[in-house]
Amino acid sequence: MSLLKIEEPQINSEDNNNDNDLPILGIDLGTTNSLVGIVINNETRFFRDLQGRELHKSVIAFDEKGNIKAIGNDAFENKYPHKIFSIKRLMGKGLDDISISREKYDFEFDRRLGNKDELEIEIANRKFRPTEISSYILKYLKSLAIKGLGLNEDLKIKAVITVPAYFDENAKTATKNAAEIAGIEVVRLVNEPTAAALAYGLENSREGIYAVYDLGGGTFDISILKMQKGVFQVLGVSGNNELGGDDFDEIIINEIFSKKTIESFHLNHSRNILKKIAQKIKEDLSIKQNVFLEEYLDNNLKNIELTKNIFSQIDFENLISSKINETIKITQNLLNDLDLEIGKDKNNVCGLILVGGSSKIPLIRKELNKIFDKTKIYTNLNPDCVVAQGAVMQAFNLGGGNRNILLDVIPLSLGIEMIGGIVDKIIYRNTTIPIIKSKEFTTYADNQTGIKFHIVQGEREFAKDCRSLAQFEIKNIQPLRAGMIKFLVTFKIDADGLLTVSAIDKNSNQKKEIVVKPSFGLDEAQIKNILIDSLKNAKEDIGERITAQNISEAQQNINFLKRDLLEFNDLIANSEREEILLNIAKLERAILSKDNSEISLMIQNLENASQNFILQKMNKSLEKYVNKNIDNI
Amino acid sequence: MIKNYFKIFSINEEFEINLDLLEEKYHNFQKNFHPDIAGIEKIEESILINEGYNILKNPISRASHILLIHGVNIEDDVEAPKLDKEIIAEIITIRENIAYANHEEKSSIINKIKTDKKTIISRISIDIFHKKYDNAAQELMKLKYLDKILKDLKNELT
Repeated sequence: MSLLKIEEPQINSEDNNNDNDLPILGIDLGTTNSLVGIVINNETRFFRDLQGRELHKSVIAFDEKGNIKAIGNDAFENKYPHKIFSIKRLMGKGLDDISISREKYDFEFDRRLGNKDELEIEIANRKFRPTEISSYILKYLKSLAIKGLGLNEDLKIKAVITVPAYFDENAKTATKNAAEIAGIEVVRLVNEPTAAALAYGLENSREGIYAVYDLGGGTFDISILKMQKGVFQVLGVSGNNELGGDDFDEIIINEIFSKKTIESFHLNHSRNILKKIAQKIKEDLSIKQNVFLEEYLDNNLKNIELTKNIFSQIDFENLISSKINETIKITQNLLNDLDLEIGKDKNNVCGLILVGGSSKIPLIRKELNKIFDKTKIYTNLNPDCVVAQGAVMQAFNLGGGNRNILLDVIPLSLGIEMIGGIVDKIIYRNTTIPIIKSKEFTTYADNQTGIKFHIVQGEREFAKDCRSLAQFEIKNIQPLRAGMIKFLVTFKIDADGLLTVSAIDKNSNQKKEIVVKPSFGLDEAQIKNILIDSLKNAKEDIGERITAQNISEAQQNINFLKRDLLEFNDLIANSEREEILLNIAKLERAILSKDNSEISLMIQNLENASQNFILQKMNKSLEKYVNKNIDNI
Repeated sequence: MIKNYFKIFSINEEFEINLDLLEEKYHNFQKNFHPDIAGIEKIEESILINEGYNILKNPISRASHILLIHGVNIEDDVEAPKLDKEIIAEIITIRENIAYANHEEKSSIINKIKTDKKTIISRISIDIFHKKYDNAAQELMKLKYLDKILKDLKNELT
């Protein structure tokens, strides 16, 4: 085991004290609606817009030149030449990923991009990446909070942000990048259903195993958690990232408007007007048996052609039933995978929590009643706010307000593509994080001098059916017989669920190590560029920034090691200690030189020299803990 | 170097363990070592505990871990002992039966496998108790096959 690279955002130690005083926001960055809040005097408070509303539409409006004109409810309600809705569905995606039915979007994509690049949306003549759009929404939410708290506007702020449990690595990374661009330091990404469960659990100090069914605007998540005093343990999650209320809106649009109407609104880039009507109808059908469609048409919208006068709840339910059934099947499969049954026994699922605006649809409750018949279905917290409430509570926890811990899992398996395109899974889905797994790989041809690693995420057997996360290559390996060269590939997932991969050539004397992060979203340089675009005072260049990160990582390693060497003095031989101290000195010298490649090299050397000691130390510190606490367990 | 998770959790190195106690210890560990509480410095400890808990809580991986401690590695493609011919034949028969079964028959196969699993687990428990690790390895490999078949079947039927 090597000294781990810490990929968390680095904070300078000088800023640390001031930073800790800053409150941590909880943000629910939803497909349709977003919320931002904080705990004040033990109560959750959401920040409101000028009209006093807590729920902010995740919508951005532009003028005819592509300048941003409005964000949030204003953008949703008023007329603007261009609008972007549901950007969350495009996070971390490339051209390959979007099944573009042209009708679905009010905008075009830049088609010249490679499949490996993040999408670019074309508004007027300007281009926007989903990460960028998402960052504008985050910046807006941040501004509401800053106004609400009476803080200085340029302040960098911390937040817990929720993401769908079933978000893949690319989408999570993209979300983190968007926050960084918005000047928000992400303290933690929390899965939405987990946040919802947290809100329910902490509210009523519930105990037992609960399922959370979360059907939002764009995504469906099912999550099963064990709640106990002070510990929330996620047992498993599943879902579908492309199933949500948006799909129901589409179904309604195609059902009630004539083709001609849909086409003409699409050509005018004003399909969102139809969407707004569909959303209202959908909401009303949760409480009414029938709606009269004429009533939904504004006076100045007389050119709309309807295909019928009355639309009933039954019609609607028939149209969406296959989608609803899919969510039910996913729920059943997760229960099977986890070997769980429904019932009162403490090892069974004792309740179901409904989350997300779409979960208000009566058909969903009817279907869920069939599975969870003997148990309770909880809906008493507002499904629109419950995720945000959980985010705010977790922000409060992480700010030191409480000592509850959240043990989360990764939603999708991670693996490496083998010869023949088959995936060898390294970490299986629903594994508790943080986690590290290693596996040995070898060369397959004689005298092979390079090896390529393709990292994928998903449950399918073939790499082509999984999500491609990153590729990297180790070159100049010694030409030997097939199988003689061995590589140790290590996957590490931190508490946010973000992945780091490294590979070590075990044969060569000089170990080679490459750290890969999912790069499909934006790399450091791209984020930097957007930062320069969007922030007036960005001074440092990319090189400096990377060096600064490297230095801060190096210093952290040195500090930890020095402290541990004192504390665990008896664990190592003198020669080994000297070797470590020598490498620390070399690294310190490299830091002074500010030479980035030198620093990287010395960090690596120090890691190699201290590997054995770190393993010893870990065993020791666990042992100590066991002995101390064994009596009161 | 093989990590002995029984030692790390300071519980007796036996197949039959108290799962409630294990969970309690696991939670207590994480209350001290999880990065949310202890900061990033303790992430390695947190990882080790997660890994250990995952292995110990599940009977299959727990048995496999005990065998590994005693030098029988069933997870490694090269080192794993060869599966007995009778067991291979048995697995093939079950697979064939499933291939020709209708929905109702599949449900009864599921129930049969569930019962078989329980029997095998108790046999593994006895083998481990009597330190018959090679016997336990055979049973365990069979159990892993059955487990896979069961999961596939369940997902097919829902």
